[in-house]
Amino acid sequence: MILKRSVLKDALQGVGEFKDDRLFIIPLLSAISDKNLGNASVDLRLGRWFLTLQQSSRTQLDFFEPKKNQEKSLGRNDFIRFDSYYVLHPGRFVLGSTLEWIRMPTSCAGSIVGKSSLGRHGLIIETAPVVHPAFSGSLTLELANVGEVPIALRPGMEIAQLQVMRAEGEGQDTGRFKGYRRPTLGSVSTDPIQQRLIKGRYSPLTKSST
Amino acid sequence: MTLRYSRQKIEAALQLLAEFEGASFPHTDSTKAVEELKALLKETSKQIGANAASVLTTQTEMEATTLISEILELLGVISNSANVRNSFEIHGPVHDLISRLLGDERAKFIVSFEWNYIPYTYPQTHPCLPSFVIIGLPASEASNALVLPVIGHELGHSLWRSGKFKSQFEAEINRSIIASIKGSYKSQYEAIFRRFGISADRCDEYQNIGTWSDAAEYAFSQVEEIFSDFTGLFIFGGSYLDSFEYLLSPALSPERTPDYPPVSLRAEHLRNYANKIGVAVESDFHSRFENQTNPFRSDSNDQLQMDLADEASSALVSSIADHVFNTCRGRGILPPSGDETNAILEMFLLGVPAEQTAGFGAILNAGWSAFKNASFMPKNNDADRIAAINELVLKSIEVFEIERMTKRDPKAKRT
Repeated sequence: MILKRSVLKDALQGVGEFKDDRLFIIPLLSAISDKNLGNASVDLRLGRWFLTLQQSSRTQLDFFEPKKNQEKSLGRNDFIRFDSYYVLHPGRFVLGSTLEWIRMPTSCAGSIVGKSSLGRHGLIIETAPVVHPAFSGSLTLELANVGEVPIALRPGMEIAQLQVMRAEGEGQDTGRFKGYRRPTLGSVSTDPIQQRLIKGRYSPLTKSST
Repeated sequence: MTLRYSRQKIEAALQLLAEFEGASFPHTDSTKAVEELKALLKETSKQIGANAASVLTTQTEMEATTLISEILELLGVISNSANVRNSFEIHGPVHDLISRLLGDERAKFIVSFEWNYIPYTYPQTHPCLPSFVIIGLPASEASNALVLPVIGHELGHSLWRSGKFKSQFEAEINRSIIASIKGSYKSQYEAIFRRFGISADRCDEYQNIGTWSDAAEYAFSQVEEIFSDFTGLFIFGGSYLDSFEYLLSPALSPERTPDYPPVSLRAEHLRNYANKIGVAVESDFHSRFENQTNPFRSDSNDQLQMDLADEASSALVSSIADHVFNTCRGRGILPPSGDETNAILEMFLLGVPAEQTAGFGAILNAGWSAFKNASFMPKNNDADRIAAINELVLKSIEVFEIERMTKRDPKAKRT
């Protein structure tokens, strides 16, 4: 169930059911103009850090292999001033982050959606839109220009919307101190099932399932 | 031939500067610095052209070489200022602090790092970039937000040069040394002066013969260091003490240098005067620093000069503190409040950055408080804890700047 404006306010102010488990959006610049706090979402802005994937001598990215220092070797960080911009050329991809640091309550999850007005001009935002309960940090945004002309990405611009919904039941939450202010590549964790599939008949699973 | 060489050397330096002009710097002050250096070099080039047939040519050529040398040193720092190891988020708030501290709206600021462990500064008096305050942190610590309070010490050097402090203390140092020579060091100086046929009572007339000019120079440097320590202490409070300890304890070397008070004595001064401005400090703070050995033989004239300098600078500690604290207060700068630090710490313990803070000094204090707080990431090692604190501190500083830029009314309703 998506939280609408009145309950979103409670979550942001830490009242009622959110008294001990607040939703933090810092800085909440929508306080300057209430228009940002839509009926069932909060507008988010683009931060100043960008992570550009670089050309590399690596022959491939194989997510099955353990990755160490992948971000250091593959990405280049750029810091863009508020009075400047990052040019995203057609066909190119860059990671950005939200200007806002978000901490979800443990009782809620979020969904991030690109601004449709930007999408219509070819700027595609976010393809992994789920924000898990208790997530803390600036959200990494996957930005791609599928249009025909370069797009100036200006830090501070409204770029996405966050919808918040209730999360029920028990589960392990994301650590509260794992957040970053800059975009991150993250790492793909090794999947034991996939490992067994690759190892085929030599895997313990296969041996025990005759 | 040398004129031809000089022209070529200037041309090569201008080509290098042109490459820098096309570089992307995170803050405009670095770009402005490159522009000013280029203008300076072009002016020198013109002078060489104008003086080509005059006796001034050699002088101008030598000046040009010196200028190129200085510019190269500065370009190294400016180049490093674009490296993402730096904490770019601090630029705006520190720039604002510099303007208030120095009373100079036009002051420019570059934060960078150097391949040197000791933090350094080019105070706002560098002949090539007179309006710039340039601060460099050790490369290995450039991305550690917890060492940022040492910037306060480096700003102290600019404050020292910006006012009348230098001339005021010069006179006080001389008076203090003369008083020591006529007092506790009279017997040693009578022996020295006897060689010149002069009474020790007349030593103030004979500084130029070198009998105590070294002591005056040492004392002058020591006073500037104490002045800069107190500036850092006043601006950043307890976090200055923490970063001072982190970087300098137990000591940078077993042996002291005469230009600095021994590090344990600097720590003792900080402990004593922290209490006076309401900054909490452990009573044994200074004992975490090594008693450095003296560099000179105990019976040498060098040792005598250093002893005189130590006595003179120690006698002025109270006066230095008054000057620094009153100047900062007069310019609207106050030490971070304990209540605000605690409020920010509560946010950090929740894993979120602070908002609506009054200054970034309290943010840095809260960062150190989190580091010392056993309940902050208790199962993680220090490297992970510092990495998490970095994110919280630097995001909080960015939020602080954004809130000021958007002129948010802290009393306004949030939603």
